[in-house]
Amino acid sequence: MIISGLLTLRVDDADDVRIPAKEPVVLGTPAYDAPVETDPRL
Amino acid sequence: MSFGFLGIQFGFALQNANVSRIFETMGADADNIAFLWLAAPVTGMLVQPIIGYLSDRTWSPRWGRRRPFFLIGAILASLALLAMPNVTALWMAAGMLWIMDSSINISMEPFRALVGDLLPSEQRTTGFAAQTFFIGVGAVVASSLPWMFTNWFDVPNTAPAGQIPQSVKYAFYMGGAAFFLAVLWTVLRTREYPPENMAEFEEEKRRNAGFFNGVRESFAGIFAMPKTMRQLALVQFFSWLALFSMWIYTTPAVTSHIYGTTDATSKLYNEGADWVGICFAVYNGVSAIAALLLPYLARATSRRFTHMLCLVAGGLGLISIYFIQDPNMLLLSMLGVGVAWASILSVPYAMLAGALPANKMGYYMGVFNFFIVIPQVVAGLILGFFTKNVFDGESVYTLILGAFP
Repeated sequence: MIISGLLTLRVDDADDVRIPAKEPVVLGTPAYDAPVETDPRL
Repeated sequence: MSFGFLGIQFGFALQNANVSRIFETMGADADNIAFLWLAAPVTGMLVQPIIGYLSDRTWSPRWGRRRPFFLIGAILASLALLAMPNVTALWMAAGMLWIMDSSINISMEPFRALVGDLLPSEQRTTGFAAQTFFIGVGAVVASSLPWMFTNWFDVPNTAPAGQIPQSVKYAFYMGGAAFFLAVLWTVLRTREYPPENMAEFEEEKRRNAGFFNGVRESFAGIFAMPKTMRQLALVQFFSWLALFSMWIYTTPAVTSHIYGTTDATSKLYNEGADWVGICFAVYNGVSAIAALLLPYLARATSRRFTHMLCLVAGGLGLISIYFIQDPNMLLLSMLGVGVAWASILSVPYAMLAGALPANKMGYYMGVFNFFIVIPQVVAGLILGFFTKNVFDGESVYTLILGAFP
């Protein structure tokens, strides 16, 4: 039972709520999404 | 949805506690009993995936997917429980065990799949723990039924040669009624969800229609088990090897190591054997309580950590038997065993359900039963060899050997 207990720690438990979700995928890049700076002289 | 498991455990507990006694009453030799018992696990190994496969492909708006199998199994098992104590020959008893075990398996397998079908992931540990609670309660009550009839209602527990005592007969009748009524409760009180995509479900059924397609698909499925299931199979294999070692060797280990006798006719031996019966009732009782607490522990830590902790507690409980001199202290060992038993019956199933495709839930739950039956066969083949040739007949070492894996 002791070895099987330790083996349990290696099981991939997909539904384990403790496993943090992956970073959400961000569409686009900062270069595209960056606000357009206006020239103060205009 | 898990109340029916109480009835199923009535069937299993009565079978486990009394069938050897019935075999011996019908004239079986002690050497043959193990062979006669082989019918039970082998039947379970064949029946469970078949029932799982069939129920995965079943849908009726009125009766659902798993419930028809609960009901058919419950009717057959209840009839078998009524017939078993009325057998008049050994071949009838052996045949009846085979029918009874198959029927209980028909009813039991879809119960595991039902929890996977109906509950979202975060509630599955609780769902399987509820089943474990009913298993614990059913085991304690049903195993004690012959004793209750004798001690509370003065029903005789002895009978002339070749006849089954009245106390055992009444216990089986009551077990038959409890089985049917408890399962009927689940059948009538549970609503199942239809397949998510009915057209796809029907198409899949049509594509794989026919007996040979079913057999082919079943074999292919065994070699295509999801990764989590393969990992859990190894965990189950070793846990159940320890359990079988415990069930087979606790009586000889406790009587020889703690009570200091191997003479089965002595008063001391029978005192020890009776105490082992109490210890087993205690671990079942502990498991019923532990089952209620497991979901909280799993939520606070994780299912993997919870199962690890419980199995290590069980292993240490078994090893502690070696160091015990006062029989009362065995109850402390049983605390660890009860906690492990509760976890073995619930946490791996909760983890497994999340890793299985919804349309194959029943089938793979049935295949998962292989990893209970295979260690049972392995235990039968190797533990006797170790006890005799390596440990010189000292079964307490076999118990410890079982605790490590």
